[in-house]
Amino acid sequence: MHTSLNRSIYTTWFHRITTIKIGVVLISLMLTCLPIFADDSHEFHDLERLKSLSLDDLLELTVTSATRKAQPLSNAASAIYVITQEDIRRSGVSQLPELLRMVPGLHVARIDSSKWAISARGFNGRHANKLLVLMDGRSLYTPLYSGVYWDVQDTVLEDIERIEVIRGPGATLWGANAVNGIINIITKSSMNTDGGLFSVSGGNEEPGSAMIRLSGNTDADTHYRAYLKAFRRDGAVFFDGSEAEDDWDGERLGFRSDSNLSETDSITIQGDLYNGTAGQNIFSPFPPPSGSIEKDTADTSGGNLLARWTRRLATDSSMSLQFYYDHTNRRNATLREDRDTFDLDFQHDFLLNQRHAIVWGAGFRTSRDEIQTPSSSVLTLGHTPNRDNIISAFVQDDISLVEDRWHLILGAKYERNDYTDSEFQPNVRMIWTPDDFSSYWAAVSRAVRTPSRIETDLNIQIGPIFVVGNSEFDAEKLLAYEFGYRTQAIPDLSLDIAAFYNEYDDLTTFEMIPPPFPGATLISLDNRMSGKSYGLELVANWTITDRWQMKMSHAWLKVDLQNDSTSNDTTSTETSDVTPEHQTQLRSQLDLPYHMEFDTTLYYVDKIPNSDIADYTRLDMRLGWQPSPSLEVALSLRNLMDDEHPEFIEFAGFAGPIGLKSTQVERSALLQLKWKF
Amino acid sequence: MPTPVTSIGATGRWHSVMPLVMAVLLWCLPLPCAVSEQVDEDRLKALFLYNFANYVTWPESTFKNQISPINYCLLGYSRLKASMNEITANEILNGRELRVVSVENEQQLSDCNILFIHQPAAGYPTELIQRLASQSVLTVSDHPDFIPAGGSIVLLKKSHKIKLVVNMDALDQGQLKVSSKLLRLATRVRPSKEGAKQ
Repeated sequence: MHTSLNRSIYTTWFHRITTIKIGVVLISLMLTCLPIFADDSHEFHDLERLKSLSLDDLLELTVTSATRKAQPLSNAASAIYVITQEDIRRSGVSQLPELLRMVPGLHVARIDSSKWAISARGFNGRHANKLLVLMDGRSLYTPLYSGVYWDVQDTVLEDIERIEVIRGPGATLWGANAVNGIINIITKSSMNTDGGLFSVSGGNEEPGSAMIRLSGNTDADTHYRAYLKAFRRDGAVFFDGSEAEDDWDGERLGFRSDSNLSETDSITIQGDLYNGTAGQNIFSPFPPPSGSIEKDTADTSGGNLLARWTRRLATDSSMSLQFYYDHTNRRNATLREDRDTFDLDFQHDFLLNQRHAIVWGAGFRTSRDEIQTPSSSVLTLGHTPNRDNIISAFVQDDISLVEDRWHLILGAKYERNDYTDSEFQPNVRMIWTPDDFSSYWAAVSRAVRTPSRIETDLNIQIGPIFVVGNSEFDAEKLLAYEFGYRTQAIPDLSLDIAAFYNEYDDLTTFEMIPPPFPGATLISLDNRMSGKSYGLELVANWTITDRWQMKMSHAWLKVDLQNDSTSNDTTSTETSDVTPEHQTQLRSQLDLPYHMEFDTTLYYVDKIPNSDIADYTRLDMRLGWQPSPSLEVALSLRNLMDDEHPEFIEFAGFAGPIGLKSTQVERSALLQLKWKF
Repeated sequence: MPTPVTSIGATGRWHSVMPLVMAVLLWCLPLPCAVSEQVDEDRLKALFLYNFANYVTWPESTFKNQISPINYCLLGYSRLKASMNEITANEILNGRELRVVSVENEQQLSDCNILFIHQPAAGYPTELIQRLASQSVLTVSDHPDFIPAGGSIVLLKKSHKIKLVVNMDALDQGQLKVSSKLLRLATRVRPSKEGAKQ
């Protein structure tokens, strides 16, 4: 198509870009335009697909009226985004953290082959501490650093029912640390897992991985599934292009069983066991020469067991009791951590006077750690072994002021922790649904990020420089104002807009305090920074035809931090602001004839402020083929725009806690084969 | 200071291609006509009816033999019939053919295994429904009044979705066994227990 014309235009405009890259983009774009060629067999396939849906799926389908095509219009009074199983399947992604890239407004940056920085609305870092992450009700947030060890979070991606991501505070329902957002990963009930699944994949960056999942039932009321998976990841390259040797491999096995004990009672039991080994590179603070890189290995292992008993009390009322135990073990050059966490949660929801949908609950969590630091490590931690206890209770009332039109949601959470004692986190939300196709919501909430063990017990010595924790370290606080609008005024096009203004106080700083002896430098953690952030997030879903969907989003964020007048910290205002101002995403999901699928995602991520990370454009593609309902072959190409690019700052600084050297993200291809039996 | 990023140059150039990429994408967007097939309410209801055969076990005496068909009857709802015919065409479940049968008179109703009744203007024929329920016919409708009339299952439309309401009394009466999976997803009611909901 007009090759010569195209070429002349491009050579004039972008003379240094190779024609191969242009070709890749144009071919993908042309394929994206394909659905103009209709396929007669489509209607038949659609019926077959509808017939294969389970009851659960049918209950989730929305009814279309003759005039307008309604799509699920979430009635949540918050900026929520849901990743569905179909999104997961069509992403071609093999690692859980990579799935989150598709969420509008979430900044997902790879640090090295096994580590990610993931956060919403700013304050990103390896241990981004203002984002709470849960899997099936189990907190994945580590009390050591405040943050998520993404390298040990995984499951069978095909068994995930959905991932709900809320941008903005959700502390009232979810608890402390749900300051800037919540990621809630929900796996399917084993009652909805049919049969077995075997998958293998291989590619240049992921040399080989395999997974097998089996499921069955003892009788109509007890279903179960179990899986085993193993993966290998190739090492990446440093910013100068040299090999980082941060190869990563791991194995994981797990199960889930769901039983109906009676017409009203059901019980879920699930668990996982895992281990992994990842190469990492640590910036050595010691001369000579300062700044040299030490190779290190992080060995991780752990397991968890969860049981949840749910009882339905009436049509509009239920209660559940959940218990879990989680063990983690991490060994690397700077520290050895063993941690056991027990958690008990109770929740009860009911409808009062047909107007008040009330949910309340209480929980207790205790986490015991044993931390050892090798004599060579610059880091030591006081108070080991240590135990942290959290007691919490919450209540929320969703008041229907005018049925289906006006809702007022009031809620508050009380939490008692060992560091700051009592924390109170209330919120007020309002949602107005003027018609069946649009809604406006607004919210004011308070949320806190409670101190973690490392902030009170830390002790780093690098020559004459000491960095120490602060037993008086206080919680970081947020007061958030949010506003949102959703509409589907035009059939097939839905729009979701969210705006926020956040006021932070008592943010972490590193203060120079009088040294114990002359010539030494003593730095202590404190809470002497405040600031604000504001932004806008736009999400649009366009069902162009039955076979072609387009999802577009743009997120804009501005962070403005200031030290208190008593602070002498000169760096935290900059090191805390490392989230791109602009992020744009364009995702196309296209069904081709012959059971083929072609999916393209284009990302634009702005430069990271206060760092050398430049903006980048990333193009991912997937070509999938289902020759039969039980077989799927997919080829995924990622980072097609360049050989490699960095996504996160080179040294993760204190959050490391010792400087972790970042690597670049390389161009990759992955071939996946899935067989259902 | 961190080492300079080697690929910054390439990334920077790509940034300048963004407007073009966006332009081409937007250009090809309006081409296909947005004529989309409607998966409408009737079809969704028909899919539920089709699924019910999977989750319901009839008493052995219901069928003449191992290969007797499962009969669907539809009253007062011609649009649903088209969907039902389309869905059940050539379908065999555990050796039984799924068949949509026409009902000419009241006697033929006892040959039905699953009966869908669209809400009649004059209300449901309570007596007839109760008689059918005791004859192991799974009676289904789409109006909440169907439960007090003695019907087995209601497909209730609520905020653009279909919800299931199951009358446990009617199932017991007809000795129909409904799998726990369906019950788990449904709202179960027992009118006999004076409005007590489970």
